[in-house]
Amino acid sequence: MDRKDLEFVAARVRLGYFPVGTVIVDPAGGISDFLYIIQRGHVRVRNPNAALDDEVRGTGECFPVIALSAASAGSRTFEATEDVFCLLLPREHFDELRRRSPEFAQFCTEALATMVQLSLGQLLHHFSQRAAEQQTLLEPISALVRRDPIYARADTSVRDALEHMRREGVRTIAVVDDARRPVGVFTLVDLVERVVLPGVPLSTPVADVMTRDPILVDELSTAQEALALMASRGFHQLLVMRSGELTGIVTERDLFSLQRVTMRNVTQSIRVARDLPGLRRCVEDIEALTHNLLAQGAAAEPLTHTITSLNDTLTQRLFELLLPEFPSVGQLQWCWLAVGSEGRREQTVATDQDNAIVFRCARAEVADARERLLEFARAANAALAELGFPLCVGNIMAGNPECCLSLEEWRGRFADWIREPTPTALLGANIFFDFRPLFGDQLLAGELREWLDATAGVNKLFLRMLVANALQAEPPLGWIRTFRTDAGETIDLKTHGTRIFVDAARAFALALGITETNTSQRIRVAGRRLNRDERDIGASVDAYHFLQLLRLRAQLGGLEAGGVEAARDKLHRALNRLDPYALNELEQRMLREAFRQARALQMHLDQSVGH
Amino acid sequence: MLPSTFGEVLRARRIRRALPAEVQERLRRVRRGFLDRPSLDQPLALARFVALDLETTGPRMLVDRIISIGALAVTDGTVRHDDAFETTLRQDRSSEVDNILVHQIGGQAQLGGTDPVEALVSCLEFIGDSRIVAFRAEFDQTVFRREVRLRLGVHAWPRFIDLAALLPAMVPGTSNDTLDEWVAHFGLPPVGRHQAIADAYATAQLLMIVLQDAPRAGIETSRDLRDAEQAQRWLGRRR
Repeated sequence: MDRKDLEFVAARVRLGYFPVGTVIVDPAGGISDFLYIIQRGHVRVRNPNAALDDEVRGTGECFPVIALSAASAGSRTFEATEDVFCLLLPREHFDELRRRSPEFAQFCTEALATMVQLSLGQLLHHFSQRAAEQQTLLEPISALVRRDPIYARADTSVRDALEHMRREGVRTIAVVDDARRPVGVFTLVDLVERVVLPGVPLSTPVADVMTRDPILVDELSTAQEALALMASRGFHQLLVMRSGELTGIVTERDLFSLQRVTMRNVTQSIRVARDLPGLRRCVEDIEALTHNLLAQGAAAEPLTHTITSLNDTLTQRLFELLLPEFPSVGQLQWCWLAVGSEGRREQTVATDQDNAIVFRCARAEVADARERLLEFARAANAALAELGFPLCVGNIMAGNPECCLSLEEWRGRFADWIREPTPTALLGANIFFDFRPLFGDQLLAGELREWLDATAGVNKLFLRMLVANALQAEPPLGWIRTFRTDAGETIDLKTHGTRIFVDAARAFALALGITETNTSQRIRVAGRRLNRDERDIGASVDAYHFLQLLRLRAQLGGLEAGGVEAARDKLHRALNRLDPYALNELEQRMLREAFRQARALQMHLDQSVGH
Repeated sequence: MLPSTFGEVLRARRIRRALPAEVQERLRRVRRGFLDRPSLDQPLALARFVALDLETTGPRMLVDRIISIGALAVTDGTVRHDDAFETTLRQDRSSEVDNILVHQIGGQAQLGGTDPVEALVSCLEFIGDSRIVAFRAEFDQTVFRREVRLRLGVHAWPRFIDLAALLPAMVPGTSNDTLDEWVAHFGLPPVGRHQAIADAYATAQLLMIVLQDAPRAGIETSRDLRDAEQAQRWLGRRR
């Protein structure tokens, strides 16, 4: 450092003495008032996250550089391991020193950079820990309970009980007395052994053929204990209780299911699923797999690709199962289109349905063909909803007559939007221009894409409006190191985060005739065509992925916290929302950087395509 | 210390009246601040202490004069580099050669320094309403008071707190005696000793340690600190 700057420091520091054991900097005390430069002795840095071992700082080192640079309370505690003397530089002088000395500013930045590495490690650690828990059998049994228990009163007839089981798609039903205390279980195996083979009539009360004295376990028992109980009693299922009340049924299958969620297994089980409940279980596996992948450190891009491709497989399998019920659709030439995020291959777990149909037929038969396709599409939409893909609030679904059009009609619609780019038209373009064929005749989709690229790219007015639209959303950066949050003190990561990238990328793609629908691919291809600095391209893509990762984390966290069913209900409202100040100091910085990158991409778009 | 005779009072007033008007005004302000000083019951953490050291023309406290003054503030348990004071007093004649060797303040510097009246007034202003702490305070206190009385005509000035008396009370079971020994005991970096500011700095560091440990010894206010020091001095005399 410059002599001038050293003198600046020397004239402004104080000497402080901290006997052994003194906590010098405590995050609970808010932003540190001083930068501490150790003159003598050692200081232990305690990290709240056990992932990082404590470190020790000695003479000449200073702290808390990162917290002070970020002007936040930091997360680490600094404690004297022996009698320590420190020079104390008041915070206002620390800030001034950063301004006046480039060397010192550099030093602070480097400290931060190391922290970024560590924090990414932390993020991965957090998830691998969850994954490890998931795969060991030390988890409380309550975590394996996937749904409310299905039960029947003891006097219910076997027929009614079976009917109930079929409706719910379960193989085991609990039998309870009048006070809802479990008295037994009845399974499909029992059905064969005690009803069908002995020829017992179906009107018999279920209590007569059930297995008495079922295994009851408290929900806090571990899975391991549960397994041991099952083995010793020779049962395949047990009833989970919370303070005397039945909360769920766990079968051997549940206990082992968590260990078989690999990509290949999930894909395989989707392909062989024979009914809706089967597919439903696959959806749960997809969630578990996503979690594992996140834990193993998969980046957002391969992750969303994986989710999308599994969801594709799932949808395709669903259609295979569904189509035999709609023979009239089989003779038509049509293609199921994924639009919106699904079209961009950027599905997160909580994505709702966005789909459409394109078909081709003689002009006279359009109305009739649409009727037939709509019938199928509505059933498909309902089935997808049942599988956990919420119905689209905006009704962007193939079952909507507006989204089930012939090739001519789509062209006409698109041409209208391009000719007259009203806000409604742009909204439509934002959703439908990201279409991608998912099932059926892919050539139809290809034809439509070719036509669109040729038409949109040459219409200047449309492009200008598209760019203006992409520039409209402002990244939620507040004044000096804060975020602009909404009334609930959260940020909508989709509206104010990822959407900025998505909209900008679409504008680039349509302006430059890039057929790609995936956002990061669009940003990369566009950047290269426009000779943008490779590092800037990388920064944009990374920022986008960071936001996606936060969304995924929020969504998976939400799914875990509330259980699958509970989370489904609030997917739309809650799961894209994030309280930025709940993030740790470093993630907050990364988030700010991501938003700055969003702004940079917008500026780049404005300069290169906007005029 | 109050003037003991009527003659002293008159002499002091004569000295004060002979000072330039601007200096008189500054002294009045210092006096007002001093009268409004915080009570002895102020918690230690809020009090401002000034660690002070003098270099003199010799070891005789009744005749030797101040060559230089070094002082540092200690607040909230920290030594304030940004709140320090140092001055060399202009001498009518330079001191003997052997003394120059001790303090390494050359005759040239001694003859060149600040006007003594100005230096002492600035020093009083720096001290303000703070409590003064010195190592072997009796010597510094006697010399400082005499000079202030003779040059500024100011009598009333509180006692210095003697760190040399306090330290053995706070850190029992050691045979440390000199400032150097205590500095070594705590492993403080040896500073350029025998300069007023350096000794003041060493004193300030020791004071900081004492203040840090004080609550454990039941010392929470300035009064407690003074009482502890007085008890220790009394013990020291008996020893």
